[in-house]
Amino acid sequence: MGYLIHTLTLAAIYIMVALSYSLPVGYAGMLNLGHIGLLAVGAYTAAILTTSGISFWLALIAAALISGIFGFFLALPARRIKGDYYALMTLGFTFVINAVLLNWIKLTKGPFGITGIPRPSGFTDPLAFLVLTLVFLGFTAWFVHRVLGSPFGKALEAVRDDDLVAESLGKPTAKLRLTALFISAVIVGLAGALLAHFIQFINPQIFWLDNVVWILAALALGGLASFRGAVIGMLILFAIFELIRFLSIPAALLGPLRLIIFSLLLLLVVLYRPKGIFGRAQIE
Amino acid sequence: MKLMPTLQIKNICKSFGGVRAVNRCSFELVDKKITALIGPNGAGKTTLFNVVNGFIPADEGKIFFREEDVTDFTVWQRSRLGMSRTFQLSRLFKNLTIKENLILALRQDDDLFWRAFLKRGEGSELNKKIVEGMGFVGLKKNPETSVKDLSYGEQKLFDLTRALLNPHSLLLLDEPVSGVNPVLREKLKEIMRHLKEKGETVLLIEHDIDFVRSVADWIVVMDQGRVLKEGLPEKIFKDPEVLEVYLGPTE
Amino acid sequence: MEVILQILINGILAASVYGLIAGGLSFLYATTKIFHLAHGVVVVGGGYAFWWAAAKLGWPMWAAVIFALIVSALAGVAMNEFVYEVLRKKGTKGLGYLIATLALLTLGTAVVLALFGAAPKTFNFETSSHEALGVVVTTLQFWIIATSALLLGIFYWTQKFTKFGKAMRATADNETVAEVLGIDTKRIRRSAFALSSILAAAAGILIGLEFNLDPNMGVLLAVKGFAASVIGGVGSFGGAIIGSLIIGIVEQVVVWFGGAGWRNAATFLILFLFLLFKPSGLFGSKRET
Repeated sequence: MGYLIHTLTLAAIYIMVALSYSLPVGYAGMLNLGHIGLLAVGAYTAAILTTSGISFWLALIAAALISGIFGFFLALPARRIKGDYYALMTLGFTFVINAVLLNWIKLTKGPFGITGIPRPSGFTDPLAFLVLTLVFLGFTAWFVHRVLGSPFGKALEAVRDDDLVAESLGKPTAKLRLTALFISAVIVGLAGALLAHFIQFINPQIFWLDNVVWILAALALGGLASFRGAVIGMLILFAIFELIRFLSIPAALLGPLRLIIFSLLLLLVVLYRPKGIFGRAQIE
Repeated sequence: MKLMPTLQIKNICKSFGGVRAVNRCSFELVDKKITALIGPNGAGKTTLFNVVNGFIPADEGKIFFREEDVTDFTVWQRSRLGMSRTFQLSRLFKNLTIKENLILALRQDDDLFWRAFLKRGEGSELNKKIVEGMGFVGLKKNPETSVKDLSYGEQKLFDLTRALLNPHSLLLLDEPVSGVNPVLREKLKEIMRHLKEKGETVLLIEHDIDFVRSVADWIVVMDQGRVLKEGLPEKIFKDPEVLEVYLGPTE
Repeated sequence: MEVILQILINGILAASVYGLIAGGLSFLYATTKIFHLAHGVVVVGGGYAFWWAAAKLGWPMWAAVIFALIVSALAGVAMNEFVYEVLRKKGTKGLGYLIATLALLTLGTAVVLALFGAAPKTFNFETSSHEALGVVVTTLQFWIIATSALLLGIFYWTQKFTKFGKAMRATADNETVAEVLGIDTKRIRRSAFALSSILAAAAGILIGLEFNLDPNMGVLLAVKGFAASVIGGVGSFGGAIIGSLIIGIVEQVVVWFGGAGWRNAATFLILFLFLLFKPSGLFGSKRET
């Protein structure tokens, strides 16, 4: 029972991450590899604040806002730097965040990470925290669904498909991308804060590039630019992630095996079914 | 009272690599008239068009739209100010239907994400405009048709509809009759006449001289990146310099 | 003064390795237009193959080297044949290639992790050190710089003076025209992957000998390789060398004055500035933006 609650909470958090990631990748068409860096910003901001005695709720808001600001700055260069070079830049961002997490020891405690992150009072019980997480998931899911189904979402997709024509029709592409990335960053910042207080211990290793692959795999499998694609894709991957645990292989191989499966899955989707299961746009 | 020129192009220069595609090009567009930009291949017409629209930045020179200096404006800013264009090779949003495409053209406030949470009641307004627009152009198709299922001619009409529905005061048409069958060509001449009656200001690029002769009020001839001559159609098509540039060996 | 010279030597040492990676990556990107991040894992794979043959199986050095070169070349070519060429046939554009290369990178890293474990591998190499002008250089370091220079020199000569090199540059310049001129661009791409992977293996071997091998290095090396290419100008071989030198030396400066952890951040800062203000790099053509 405890295991189930634990798994559901983690799954809920990662669905939030997948949903937030679908905004820049699926809907805005931006090759953004900095998302894990933003998750880290949210997690660490919240953790640093609550371990210094600040209220969880304030820390949550701070995490969302600061992550949002970083996301905003990540989107600014998108007009000048395009395509592959933009991806390279966002990759660099994730590495810089990683370097800061490892080296600014006074702030982040370096490679050992931050331990003993306190749950908010009233939510220390795993079930209670699960409910809290589900509430946040529900809210952000509703928000994202509403926005993406609105004229804003349509305009964003137009920018993704042909930004010059979209501009010819009066759509301010920079503003649309900035907004999408800002919203995406705020949500993933929240997810990061929740993650930090759920597992109550974070270190720089958690926020490395291999995590991007499985979020991408979830989105690719579920299908780009699809709300249920993001949710179902992440659920499937999460299920695989957990099921592997029950295989009788040495613990050291668990991690690599997961990565192998996820990257192969991603590769197969890109090569043979770029639309994924529910995708309304395909990887091209 | 002097008629305010809608568009003023002043000394525009644009080079690619070492090649000067547009070389100190200047002319003005008069309100409510159809101006045709013609010239041999490589004269720089499409480049100039793209500079006017904002797709590519000019190296030198200025563009004034309704007396405002738009030289450094982005494509969307110029669109919001009133420029609207079609594309020679149709750039459709191929995953969308006709209706979805046209709604994109009509909406001008869809960059505000919070409006997702407000009440929207403009569905019927939009539908009305779509039906009107398609009717004006004569596009007889179900609006729920996917644009990739349209024939070439229908795509051309669709492109025009989309440009018309986009709120504008200047219409930029990029080779509206290129590759079009004779029946559609006549239809487009009709449409151009209707546009004139509505008081539209149009700048178009075309190679089809017969089409240009029937619809244009004013001709601008470009050659080697510059304006060679401009004037009324009857004068231009009798001008020996113009004929030489067209019938010469480079054509 | 010795500090400056030591920093310079250490920087050149790092640059020797980066240059092998960046040189290969730069002309690979120019020829195929593929953002091949997975190249990093080809480097790491080559290093591990060498280590396994030399340290674990006890093969003589030259055999281990050849083994590593073959493993890397096969890996690089396989990635192209089974993934990139398939995408190319489907008309895939940027996002597809990017996701594919990330998947390949992660796949390769995970395989290395599964086979060799996460603990870094080192060579207990006996090498003597020399001192001159107050600067310390080991024999091994000297040979690394020399080998790298030799390989890069051979490579440069191939590019500039052989018919094959010219065909490669033609493809990089304009693929359609190259095809029309009768160049088999598919073969060119395959060769580009093979050659750059061999250089990558060399880099991996040298890294294993002088520094250490750890499975997660792949992506970092790839990004640095790209950074050097962008700084020097993509497609320009000399540019990749200069870019590598800049990165190598700047990193050593940062290490000396700020501590080892920040050196990656310094590289990315420079990369960022170049991407923003001079994306064509120092010697690249304007076309690449």
